[in-house]
Amino acid sequence: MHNILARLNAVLAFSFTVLAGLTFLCFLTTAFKDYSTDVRVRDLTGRVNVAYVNGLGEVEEAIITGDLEVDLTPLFDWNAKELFVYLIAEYVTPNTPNSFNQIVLWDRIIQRGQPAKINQKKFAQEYRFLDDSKALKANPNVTLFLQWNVIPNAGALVTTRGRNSQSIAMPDTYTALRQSKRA
Amino acid sequence: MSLASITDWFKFEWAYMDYEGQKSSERLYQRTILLAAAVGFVVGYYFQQFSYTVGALGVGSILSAILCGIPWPTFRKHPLKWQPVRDAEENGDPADVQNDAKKTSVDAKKKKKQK
Repeated sequence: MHNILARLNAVLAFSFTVLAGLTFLCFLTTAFKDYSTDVRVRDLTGRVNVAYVNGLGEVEEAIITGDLEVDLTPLFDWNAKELFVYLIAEYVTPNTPNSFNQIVLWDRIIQRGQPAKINQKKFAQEYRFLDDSKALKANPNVTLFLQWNVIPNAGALVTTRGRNSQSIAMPDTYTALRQSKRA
Repeated sequence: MSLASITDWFKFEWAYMDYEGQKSSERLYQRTILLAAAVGFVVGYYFQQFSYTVGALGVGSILSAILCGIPWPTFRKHPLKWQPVRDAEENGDPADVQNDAKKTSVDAKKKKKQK
């Protein structure tokens, strides 16, 4: 405190200490918050076909589409920097080593300030939906739900599942997934 | 202008605050920054925008750097009463004779405390 540099140093150090305290308070205000919200997944249709994948051999592939509607704007509180939203297809394949399956079909990053309303008619699947136990055909219960990570300024990275999900029974016949290029 | 001469310029005697001034300056910057932080917390929580909080704290710390960093006359109201400089010959130390001329009063005071 005896000269200018020492005083500036003291001011800066104190400011950063206070900033750390503020960040902790910001974390405390959102630490016990429920980040879930209502999601509408509707009008699902699915198609299944066989596919050949290097290393896996003959597997089953499905394409699911439908409508997705959710308003994530209320999730952006002052401790939320970014949302990572993804659509998961969940299904059970009994009598296989990995009987519980969750597959990400679609994702989106919503940063702070970007429009956070998702209203997708006939959403396009982004990632391939493969099953190496060939249990997709006639699977009675494939459940689609939305899940998201809230990336905070301070605190834990929260994983939250959207309320409401929609199940679909897969067809029991193989149909072509994509139109062939010759057509 | 070398780096050493710049830092010497900052450490020059005119930049010193007296002890009372240092005390009140320290209290002033602590209160300014804490007030700015409290205002920033309320504003940031109201608008749900943490950058407002950080901005308010930044404004507060720049303000307190100007208020408390510069030795305003308010912080120099209680100057120390120095002992008059003793004659170097009384000490009988030939090294002191050459150095004492260059010494600032602060350094001289330190030397006297040691003796």
